[in-house]
Order: sequence, then structure tokens, then C-alpha cells
Amino acid sequence: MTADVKGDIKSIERRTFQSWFEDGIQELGVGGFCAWLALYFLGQALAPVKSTIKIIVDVGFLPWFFLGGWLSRRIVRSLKQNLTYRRTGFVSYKRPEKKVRKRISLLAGILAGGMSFGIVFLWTHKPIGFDPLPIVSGLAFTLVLILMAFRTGAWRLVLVAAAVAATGTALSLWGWGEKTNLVAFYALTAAALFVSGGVALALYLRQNPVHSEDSE
Amino acid sequence: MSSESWSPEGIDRLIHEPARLVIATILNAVESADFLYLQRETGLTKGNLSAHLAKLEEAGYVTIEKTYRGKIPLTILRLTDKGREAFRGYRTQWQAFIRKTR
Repeated sequence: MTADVKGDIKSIERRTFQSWFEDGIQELGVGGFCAWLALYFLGQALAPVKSTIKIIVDVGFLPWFFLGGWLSRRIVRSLKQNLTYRRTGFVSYKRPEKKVRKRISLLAGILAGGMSFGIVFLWTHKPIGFDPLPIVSGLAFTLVLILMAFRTGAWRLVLVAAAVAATGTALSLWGWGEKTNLVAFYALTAAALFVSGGVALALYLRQNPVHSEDSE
Repeated sequence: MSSESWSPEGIDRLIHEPARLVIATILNAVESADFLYLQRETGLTKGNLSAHLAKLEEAGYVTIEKTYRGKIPLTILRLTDKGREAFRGYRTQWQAFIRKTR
């Protein structure tokens, strides 16, 4: 105890932040979101060209994206309520400070710009049979996952990042065609996140029994 | 030299106590947390944690809200604005003290 206190306040703050990720539920949520995107791209691949369905699917990307984000957050919250809070307690985090939010927005902007540049560059210089979308998406995901691993201390995310990078590269080089590559990329990314989150959750549940009474 | 018996001049001794410093640090990093979470993160016993929280509540640094999750009683804890201010002040003072003594 004393050692904790004498030690760095920063490390206590970091541990408090990291505790959100120890049960793997956040990864399951992001994995679910990736599976949701895979479904969208599957719909796009299956819809007949120049059909009404194709137009609806194309126009519906943004609503589909935001609905997926909302559903993913609901599922994470529900799983946390039913599994985590009864075992290791409830915690709700503050909204990040303005400067942190600015930094995140800047990073997202740089990432989006880099992705757009990468796609355009690879598209104009691509060899025949090379699909740039999976490799660019894979690299963007890899970067985000590695940053998350550093920030959360969940080092298993580095393994997921490696799997995602390998998947993106392989699909770009030897994929089944542009239509199905994105479906495969998001489905395999979802699978990697489900495995990582599922293993973390199983370990967490085994190590932390339910508390049937409060606290005080 | 225990921190209870000695502290640099002007430092907030209520927060300076090791267990309460951990509690304040955690509560400052979050919006709110329940008793179980704090107990797990601090490693304190129920009685000990309750006693420290009572002191922080008495000073107006912490609010303690008793509620229910289904049929299970739940104790939600938050650092007040005064508590956050005191924690920030403590941190600044302590860092200045460390710099001075280096």
C-alpha cells in the first residue's frame, strides 16, 4: 500500500484507466462493429449492379456506420453491467480533457488523410490484381491497435495488430477480388478481436468471482 | 518517518495520508466509482475504506450516494469540485516540494 502511495500518482491514474480494458469486453464491442461493417460490404458485394438495392446500400453507409457504433456501445455497456460491475465494481470515466480531445481529433485527421493518400497513391500505381483497400485499412487498424496497446497496457492487442496487418497485406496481394476483399478483411479482423477479447473475458471471469453483496 | 506525523508545511494533510491519496487519485481520474471498485483498486479492507471515505466526505471532498442495483445496495462515490481542487493543489504543492528538495 505504502509503496503504491509513495510511487507515482501517474501509475495509479494509468492503472485506473487500464482497468476498463482488462475484461476484454471493449474488444468484443469493436469486434462486433467490424463484423457489422463486414455485413455491409457483403451487402454491397451481393447487390446487383445498377439495382435499387445497390443504391440503397451505397447511400445507407453512414446510417449503417452510426447505428453500428451505437449498437456496439449498448452491447459493451450491457455486458459491463451484467459481468464486470458485479465482479470488480462499477466505474464511469470522465470525458477526456479538451487538449486530449484535440489530440485525438488531430490523430484521427492525420490517419484519415494518410489513408486517403495511401489509397489514391496505390490506386494510381497499383500493379494488375493488386487491391489497395485491405492493406491501407490493415495498416490504419494496426496503428490504432498498437497505440491502444501502449495506452491501455493490453499487450494482447499487439498480436491482434500483427494479425490484422498480415490479413490486410495478404488480401491485397492474393485476395479474391475487390468486392469480397473488404468483406474478408473486416470479418477476419472481427474474428481476431473476438478471439482476443473472448480469451481475456474468460480469464477475467475465472479470476474474479461475483460479489453478491455491496461493498459497504 | 510516517506521513501522518510529518508533512511539508502547508500541504493538505487530509489528502497526504497514503490511503486517502490513493482514493483521491482514483476518484480524480474517474467520473464516479462504486465502493467495490475502490476497495479492489486500493486493497483496503471495507472498514478501513469506509473510515477514510467518511473523513473525505466530512471535509466536503467526496460525495457518497447510496442507491440500489436491482436488489443489491450500491455505494457510488464521487470527488466534489472542492475535492478535485484540493487534489490538484496537493499535487502542485508536492511537486514543488520535491523539486525544492532535489
